[in-house]
Amino acid sequence: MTTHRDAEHEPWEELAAGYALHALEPDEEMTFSAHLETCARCREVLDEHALVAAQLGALAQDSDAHAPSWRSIRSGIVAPDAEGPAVSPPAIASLEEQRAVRRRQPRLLAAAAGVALLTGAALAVWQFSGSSPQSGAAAAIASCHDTPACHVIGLDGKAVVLADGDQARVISRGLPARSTGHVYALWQMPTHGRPVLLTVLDSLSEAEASPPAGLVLPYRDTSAFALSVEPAGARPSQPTQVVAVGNATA
Amino acid sequence: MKPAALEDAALLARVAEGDEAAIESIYERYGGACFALARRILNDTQLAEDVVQQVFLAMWQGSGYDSRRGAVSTWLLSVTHHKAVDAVRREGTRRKRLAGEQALLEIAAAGPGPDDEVWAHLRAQRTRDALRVLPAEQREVVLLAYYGGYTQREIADLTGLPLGTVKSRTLTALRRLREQLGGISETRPEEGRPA
Ligand SMILES: [Zn+2]
Repeated sequence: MTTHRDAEHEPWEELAAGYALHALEPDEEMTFSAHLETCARCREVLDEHALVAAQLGALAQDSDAHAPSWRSIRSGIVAPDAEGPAVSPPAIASLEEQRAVRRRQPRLLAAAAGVALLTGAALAVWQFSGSSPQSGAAAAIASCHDTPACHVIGLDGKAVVLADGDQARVISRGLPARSTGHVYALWQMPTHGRPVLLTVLDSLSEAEASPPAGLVLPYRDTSAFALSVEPAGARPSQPTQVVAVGNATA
Repeated sequence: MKPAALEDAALLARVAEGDEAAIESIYERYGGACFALARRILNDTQLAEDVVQQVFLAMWQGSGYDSRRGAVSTWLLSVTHHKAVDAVRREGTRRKRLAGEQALLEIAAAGPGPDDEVWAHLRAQRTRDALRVLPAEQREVVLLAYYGGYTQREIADLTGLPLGTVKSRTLTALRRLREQLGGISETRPEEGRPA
């Protein structure tokens, strides 16, 4: 199979490469996952790509990077407490939020450092100018405005949704922070079909964007976002009381 | 399978039975590699520790590892990469950042680890050489994705390249790397280094 490359299959192999690097958009990832179930060739190609990716990963090793001892992390792995795993994705997400302001964007740095360290290649292509750091909601909105894949969507002047790639966050513009016994629900309204619940929020802040919620559908298939008020404790299947709506921008 | 892979498979079977000593052995063997990768992507020690904990928690809770699909080390690095990339994408701020010379110098000074570490079997030097001979534009798309955590669509935005070009370059680059690295086994050096 290394000598015969079917042109019709080439797009799948391109997807396999992106998949192995975890660099596909969610819709592409779903498309490729479905294909992978049916295509032995792609499973073979993906295994090869995964091995190359692991070899790239092996280059990350630093002599000054000391992994935590097993003793220090074991309780979070083999002895999770009664309330569930000690480390869960939401916990990481909130930690990320807390740190976002001071840590800033490390990704270009990581990629550029990878090149500098590994290959000595020129870095000019990754030199970007940026304005000075801000914090909180204003910084999140400014950052979104600067990001091609990020959309700022006003919801009736009462809230702002930042739809960034495959995630959405909400900033209040005067909504009550919390009403007793109720929560806010963020909905993605598809171009065709029923509203999809993205997340339930105990409170909304004007100072900070809410933690990111994953979009269920690709942004381009979104007609609007909406906030509703729902009884606490339930996971609504449709909006009960819509308080703000905003059309998705192109 | 090579001895190391057999050992790993045996350890994993014990992990599936809830044997803590077995997962500790796997951690001792590969935890450092996973941590180094997560830290390089996240540029944050605490977040990297969180990612490594998630990776081994996933293994403890039933991993989804399939021995037909490659070595345990490959799988662990892939899961670590995926979780680290997810974490970096959850960041609220996506402002493009100037990669300051000082910060680059600090990271470059750290340099690669000693060759006797457990995952030197991945032949870091040969991988570096293979990267070095890639055309720069191919190296760029691969490293922005792998170490930058960018999606291919984001890379197209960053570089101004058409998305299709990013995709085809990435595939070409991985094929070339695969050819360069093709003969490399996944055994550990003390057991698998050819004479
Ligand atoms: Zn296929």
